[in-house]
Amino acid sequence: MRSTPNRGSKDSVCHALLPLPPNVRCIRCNRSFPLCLGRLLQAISVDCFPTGSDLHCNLGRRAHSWVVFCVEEGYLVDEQIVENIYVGKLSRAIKKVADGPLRFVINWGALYSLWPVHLMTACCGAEVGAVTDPRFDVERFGVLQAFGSLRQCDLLIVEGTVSRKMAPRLKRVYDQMPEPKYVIAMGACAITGGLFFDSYNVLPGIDSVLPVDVYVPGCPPRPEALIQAIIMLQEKIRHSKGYT
Amino acid sequence: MVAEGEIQKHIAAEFPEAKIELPTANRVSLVSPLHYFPELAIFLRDAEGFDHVTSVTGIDYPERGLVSVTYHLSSYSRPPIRRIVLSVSVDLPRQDAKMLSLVSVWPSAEYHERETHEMLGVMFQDHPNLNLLLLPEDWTDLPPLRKDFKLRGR
Amino acid sequence: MSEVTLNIGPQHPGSGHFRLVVSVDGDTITKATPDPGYVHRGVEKQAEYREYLQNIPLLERPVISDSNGSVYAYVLAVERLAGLTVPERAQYIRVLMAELNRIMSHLYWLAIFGIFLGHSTMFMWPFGDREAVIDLAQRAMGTRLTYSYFVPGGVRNDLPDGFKDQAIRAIEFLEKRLIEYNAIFMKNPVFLQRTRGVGILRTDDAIKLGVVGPTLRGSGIDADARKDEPYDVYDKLEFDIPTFPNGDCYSRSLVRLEEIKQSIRIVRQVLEAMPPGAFRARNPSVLKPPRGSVYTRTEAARGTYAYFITSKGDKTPYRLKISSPSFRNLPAFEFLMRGSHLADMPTIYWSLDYWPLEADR
Repeated sequence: MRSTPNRGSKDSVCHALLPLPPNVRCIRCNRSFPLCLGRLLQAISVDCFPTGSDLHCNLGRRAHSWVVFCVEEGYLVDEQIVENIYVGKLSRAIKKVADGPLRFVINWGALYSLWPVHLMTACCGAEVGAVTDPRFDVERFGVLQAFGSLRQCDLLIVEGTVSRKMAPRLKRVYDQMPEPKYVIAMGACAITGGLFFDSYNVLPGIDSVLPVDVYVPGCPPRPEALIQAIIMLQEKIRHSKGYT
Repeated sequence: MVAEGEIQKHIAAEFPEAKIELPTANRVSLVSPLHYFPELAIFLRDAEGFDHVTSVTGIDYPERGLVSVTYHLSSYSRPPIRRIVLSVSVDLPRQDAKMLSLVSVWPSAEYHERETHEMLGVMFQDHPNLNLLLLPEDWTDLPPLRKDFKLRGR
Repeated sequence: MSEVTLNIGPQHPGSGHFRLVVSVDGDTITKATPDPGYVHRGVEKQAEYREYLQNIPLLERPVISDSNGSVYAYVLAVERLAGLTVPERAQYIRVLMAELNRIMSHLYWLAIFGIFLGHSTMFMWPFGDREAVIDLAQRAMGTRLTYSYFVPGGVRNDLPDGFKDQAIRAIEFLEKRLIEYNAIFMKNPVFLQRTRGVGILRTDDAIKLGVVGPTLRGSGIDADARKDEPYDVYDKLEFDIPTFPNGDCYSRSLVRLEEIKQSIRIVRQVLEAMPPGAFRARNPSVLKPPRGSVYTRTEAARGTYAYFITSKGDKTPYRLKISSPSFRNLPAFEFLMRGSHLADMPTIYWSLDYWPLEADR
């Protein structure tokens, strides 16, 4: 490495944007140089150095460290080895840094306040009533009986049999709920039609109408089973990618 | 069985063509031809005191070509006969099952007749509202309780 | 004045699986049409394809909060058709379980009535206290709500040891709680104002409409199938039929609370008088009753439950007709809501104790 004497102060040079021509190519491996973006993100990722140029390369290739060159008019002014530097566009940098924590916070908020729609579908509704009573107390998991409108709810518990008359209304209720929304199919009747599988007016399970997240078997499922279903749904939301 | 015997005698005196039986205690069962209605109904309500309908049942007998409609009646206003349930049956032809509605005699029969209409296809003339009650609004199949309507997979 | 038509249900906090089409002129309801059928599962048709014993789980699902009440009349009907006898201990056990179910159903009614009127404590307390009775049921019958316990010829299994002591503890607990319910709810001035004079059903209208159960007894007629046509050991037990003459929502509520007290009285007598012996008569599990038809009725929590079964000698019934109390109370909706305020709609609706599953079957 050839180093030249100081031309101007280090700081003023290192803060400046380097006007590299965009089509400078490394002759040996034909890679282009990324543009520098400032002091911390100032990096040149090269693997070899072109002949006839004053730019020098990082001859090592360690996974998480970079050699940062500060150059001025083609002359090396300073070099540092810095660990864990991201090279790329700023918007993507922000997204990558903030994505994990932001998604965690949004999922945490969603899973600890699942509000079910007040839609009694069939006989399992008696056990949904029992699960809100002081003995089983599903409110400690955040599942409130929100007696307001369904526009504030994000959980649809399909309790029991869905008849042909009820199915379009169920779909309509589901469409009216805002995202993110989740569906629990409760009871054998909601999963496959249950005891009423051969009836002329009963749908054989609701997954042809709605996308189901958790299935709870039972006829009717015990309140403890429903609480386990809510906890499973909470685990599912906790690990979900994306914001919906 | 005294009260049941009395009722049997009264009805037999007024309506000789009706077949009356006393199968067990507290039960009187009556099979009547269609032309006795509505006079038979008015007699049972006013003279005998059977003031409400507890259910209306239709039974489909395809091998006999009949639909049999049975009204079960009971009484609230006469405590001594509260224990008695009287059933009145009418046989209607299967292809053209229609009879006069008894809602004018017993208003409690309104919803029961509506259900029998949609489940068995029996037409009740002069019924105030004979729309579908329990079946979905877009039901176009056979009436479900007819024997030629088979369940899925059976 | 212009009329507005409202759809209340089937997704509404103030309705079950049931729709009411209400025409409102200002605050007054001019017309209320019930629209049932959202849970119609075709139980009567399905019952024709199942054997008599297989029908029991099917027929207890419509009234899940009072499942013994709906199956009792069916089991009695099958026994009468097939000519089966029932041992005395089994009769006592059946009466005991039916009365416990009545208490459970009335507590459920009380809880939902509380939340309909906005009293959320009255939603939590009866639901929590109901668990004491559900625990009893679970010990004896195996599950919380749907038991399949009554079979033609008796009951499925005997009562466990120590059941009597646990039952007496549970009903003593309930008696104390009923006093507290009185204090916070039945004597609450808001409750009194919302239910007194609301939804008045006069005696002659009640007879004409053919209503049943506490709706009927709140209008002054003391008809009850346990007294009119006693079945099992009801004729050996002492109990009253509470009746109140006014016909408003308050009377109907008082009827139900008194019925809980009378059920507790019956349970005490049954536990004292229960004889030892067999809990089920030996019968073939595939029954083929002879030709004929039978009509039986029992008094479930919501009213008179009746079954009309026709048999042709096969192992499945030829026709099974269910006459459920909620279906018979349907005409009362139109009749009572006409001319009342819109805010009285939930009060009247739930004072009739309409259970949509039972009406739709």
